[in-house]
This record gives sequence, C-alpha cells and structure tokens, in this order.
Amino acid sequence: MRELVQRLRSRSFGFVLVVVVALFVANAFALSDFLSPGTWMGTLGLFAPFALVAMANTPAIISGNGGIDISAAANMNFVNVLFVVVLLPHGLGRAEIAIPLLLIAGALVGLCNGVMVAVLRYQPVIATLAAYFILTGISLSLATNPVAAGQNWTNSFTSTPWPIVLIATPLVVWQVLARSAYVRNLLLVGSNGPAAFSAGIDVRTVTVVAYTLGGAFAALGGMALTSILRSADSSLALQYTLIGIAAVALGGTPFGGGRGSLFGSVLGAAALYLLQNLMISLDVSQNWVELMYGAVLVLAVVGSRYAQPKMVAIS
Amino acid sequence: MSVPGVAESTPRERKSVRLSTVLVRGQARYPLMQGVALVLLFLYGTESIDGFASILTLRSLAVVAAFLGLAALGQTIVILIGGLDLSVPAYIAVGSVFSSQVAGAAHWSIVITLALLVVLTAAAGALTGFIADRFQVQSLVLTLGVQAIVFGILQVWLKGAINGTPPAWLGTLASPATKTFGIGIPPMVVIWAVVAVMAALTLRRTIIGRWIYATGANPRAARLALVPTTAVWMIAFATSAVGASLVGVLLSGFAGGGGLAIGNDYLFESIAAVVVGGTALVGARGDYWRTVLGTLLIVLISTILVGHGASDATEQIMFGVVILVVVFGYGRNRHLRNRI
Repeated sequence: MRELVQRLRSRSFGFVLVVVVALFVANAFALSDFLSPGTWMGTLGLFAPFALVAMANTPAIISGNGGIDISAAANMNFVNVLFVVVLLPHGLGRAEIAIPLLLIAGALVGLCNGVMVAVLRYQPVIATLAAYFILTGISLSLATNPVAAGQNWTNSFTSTPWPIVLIATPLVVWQVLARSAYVRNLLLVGSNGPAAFSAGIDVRTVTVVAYTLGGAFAALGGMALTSILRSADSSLALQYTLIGIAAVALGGTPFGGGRGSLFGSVLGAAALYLLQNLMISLDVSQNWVELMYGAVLVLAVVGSRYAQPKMVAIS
Repeated sequence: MSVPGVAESTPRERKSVRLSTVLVRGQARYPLMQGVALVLLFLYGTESIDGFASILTLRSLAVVAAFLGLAALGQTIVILIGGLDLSVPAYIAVGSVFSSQVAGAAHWSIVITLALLVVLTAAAGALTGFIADRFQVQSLVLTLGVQAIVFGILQVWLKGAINGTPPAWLGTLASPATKTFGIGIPPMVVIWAVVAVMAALTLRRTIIGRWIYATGANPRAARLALVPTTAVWMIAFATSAVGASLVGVLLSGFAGGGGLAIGNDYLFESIAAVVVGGTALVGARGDYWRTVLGTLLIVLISTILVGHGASDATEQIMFGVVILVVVFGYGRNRHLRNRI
C-alpha cells in the first residue's frame, strides 16, 4: 500500500488518477448502464472533445516561457466549422479526403502560433489570444448561425471505435516522439529556455513543433466535436477553452513548463467529464453543477500540490 | 571632395545611433510607442469616419474606456505580482446583481448594499490570493475555479432570473451624457482619472507599491527581505475582486439592468488592456499608466471597427490582427541569446 502511494506521488498525474478512479466508481454506482458495453462508445464519443482540447493545450504549456495555447479550443471549433460549412458542400467531405485536409488546417494554425511565439517572439498569451479572436471571427463569418451537417462519416463515431482512435492518436504520436530526442528536448526547453539554447538545442524549431502538434490535436478535437454536434456551431470556443485549461492543470502539468504529460491531461479531462456526468445523472440542478465544478477544480489544484513530493528548497 | 563628405557623415551617423539608443531606452522606461499608436489610430479614425472627433463620440468612447480601465486595474496589480485573474467577469456579475437585485428589487439602502458588496468581494479576493500564495497554485487555474464557484453561487441564489433594475441615479452616473459639476466631462471619466492617479501614486510612492514590485520580481528574495508576500497576494486579488464588482455596479447602471453575462467580454479584454499597454506577464515590469494607454488603444480599435460598419465576425478578426500589429512594436520577448 505504502509503495503504491509512493509510486502515485512520483508521477505528476498520480493525484488525478486517484480522483478519476473514485469518480469512475461513483459513476458506475449512480448510473445503472454506465458499465454496459453498449454505452461505451457513446460515452467515449462525448468525452473525446474534452480529452482532445486538453491534449491540444499541453505541448504549448510544456514548452515553457509562459507557453499556453488559448486558441486551442477556437482552433477545434474552426475545424468543426470548416468541415461542415466548406468541405461538405464542396464534395470534399469523404473521410480519406477530409481527415488530411482538416489535420493540415489545424496544424497550420498551430504553426502560425508557433512562429509568432518562437520566431517573432510574441508573448504566448498575446499571440494565442489574438489567434483566438481571429479564429472565432472566421468561424463566426462562416457559420453565423449553427449549420446542420447532414449525413457524413463523423455520424458513425458513436457506434464504432472511432473515438478510441481519435483519443489514442495523440498519445501514440507522443510515445513515438518520446522515443526520439524530441520530448526530452521539449522538456528542457520548457524548464530552462536559455540553458537549452546554450546546450545547442534548436529552441525555435522545438517550440514551433510543439505548437504545431497542438494544432493537429485540436483538428482531431474538431472532428470529435462535429460527431457529437452533427452541425457547425461557432459559439463553443470559450467554454472549451476553460475546460482545456482546467483539464491540463488537473492533469498535473504545471503552467511554468518543463514538466507534465499528455496522459495526465487526458486524465484531467476524464475527471471533469466524469464529474459532470455524475452530477447530471444524479439530477443535480444545473445551477449547482457550476458551483460544484468550481469547488472541485479549486480543491483539486490545491490537493495536487500536496500530493506531489516537495522539492527541496535551496535557500 | 570626398574627404569633407566623410567627415560630415561620421558625426551624423553617430548622432543617429545615439537617437536610436535614446528611443530604445525611452521605450523601456516610458510607453512611447503606445502613445504613438494611440495618436495614429485616433488620426486615422478622425480621417476615415465622419463625426469621429465629435464631443458625443469622444464622451461615449471615454466612458466605455473607463469601464474597461477600472476593471483592468486589479488585473494590472495581479499581473505585476506574477499572477493572472480569470475571475473578473464573475465579480462584475456579482456587482450587477447587487445593484439590480439587492438595491433594486429588494430596496436595500445603497450604502449598505455597497458596503456589503465591498466586504464580501474583498474577503473572497483575499481568500483567493491567500490560497494562491500559501499553496503555490497557479492563479490562472485557481481563478478559473473561483470564477465557476462565484457564477455557481449567483445561479443557485437567483435560480437564473434577475428581475430588478438598478437605482435610476446609477444610470445617470454612468451615462456619457451626464456632466460633472457643470463641466462637460462624464462622471465616469472623472472617477477613472481619480482612481488612475491614486493607483499610480500607490504603486510608485507607497510601501505597498514597492512590495508589489518586489513580490513580482522575485517572491523568495522579497520574503527574505521581510516583504509580507502573502499579504501582497491577498491585497492584489482583493483589489481585483472589489474593482470588478464596482465596475459591475456601474455597468448595470449603464445598461439599465443586471445580468450574469454582463462582464464576459472583460475576461480577455482586461488582460489585453494590460498587455497591450506594455506590462509584461512575467511580473514586476509595467504600471497602471500603461494599462490606461492599453485600454484607450483597445477601445479606440473597436470604436473604429464599429464606425466602419464591421460585422461582429470582422470585428473579432481585425481586433486580433490589430493587437498583433500594435504589440509587434514593443511588447515582444527578448531573443534567447540575450537572456542567457
């Protein structure tokens, strides 16, 4: 038991893992069909946008130097609108054409963010905030009112393993990158940019790639969003922005950069999703949901500070 | 013939180098580029939009700027100590609910309402600052949670409905058409000016101001120098909460009613005002004057966009682009090789 506690504490996502397990058990007791296999894909489909916006946020935050991607959710929303309003009517809606195009669109937005931060040296908050405004503006001009999507491949997400593929893709990509030098370089850049620069690491490229990856993950999120909305809705960016930030924080990735993991962000998103699911299923009034949500977020960030081993202060 | 030419060019070149050095140093100390951008944008507005420089437009522009400027005061202090406050819209909603529901619908005296509002929001803000410093949690995330809690409390309390209207004099106070003691300046602008002078003096001339900069520059060094850093964090977040809630009271007067979404635009705009003004997010670099300039810039940009008949979508896009263009001149990080 003691060994287990120590193991959990040694991981940045140890605390949130415990929270997720507890919420999962609570959900299983509260909802009779939560564990029946027929509902799994539906649940995962609803969970996918949470997980993907959290993962889209993570590489930028790890890259440090005030790194954050406020535009991740706006990018996700933009991809959703782009698919429904532009690709589908122009006959580009088939999966094998649309998926690469959407991934490229999302990654290009991320690339722009990365170039603004690493090459043009904007503060990340300002660069991605401007990107947030520009993207929501474009989405709004493409779809002033929600537009129905009609029949397309994203409709089958709730009955096939698509959500698993969407959530797993970033994790697999990250694992592959962790085998190369990239993730280690990113962690060093995040924990001390000038030191990484002195050590000969190409800080610019590492940072640009981090934002680009985030953009591509956001594009996957846009597909997941389309599958649950079955329409283009340009008004969701703010809500998902806040969910994305909260999930990364819960997942144990510090906003100072240099530490954290994609897996932690998925767990953070899972905690938020399960909490919301639990409260809705318990018929908690919508008025109480937000209050509980905030309280859990505050308790969780304070709790995760305690759960982590203390760094020895040099003073 | 070429010799005098060379002799002439050398001093001129030296002089130009000196001028650029002076400008760079000046920019580091004073918000020069912000001022230039403000003047250029204003001239552009006057040139391209009929009646832009009319008294009527300027008055409403100044009043809108006053709301944002007041809401960004607490944000400035929080950013100076190295934090970020995402709970501004929630406290604005609290203020608007107090003025329309408590003073309006329940007919409490305005003095008691305001006193209660200030005490409650100050306590909530101070608690937020205490938690952020004591447990060393990211203020960005903490205030996101606080924001949800405050909105949640308002929703549970009101059950979604606001049915009062704020006292009529609040509307008069917040209106751009009102004169202050017979002078043609709206009272909101006078309030903002007084608050700005007080804030600037507090930051520059008092011990609390020094504490704020010391805490933002290096919290550990500040603590070792016996700066009460926890108290500084509590003061900063309490200022932000109280300021935002009072802006909420005034905004509800301006809009003629309260609402939970009344302050939502201020979430990112209050941060943008501070950063566009030139205060760095790393803390301890900047002051409230810069935020005043940043506020005027942002309000000017959106007024010009509205004046050109831009749609909501175009306005958002242009707003993002203009922020990037304006900040490109002065608000960027140093190159890595200069940070080693």
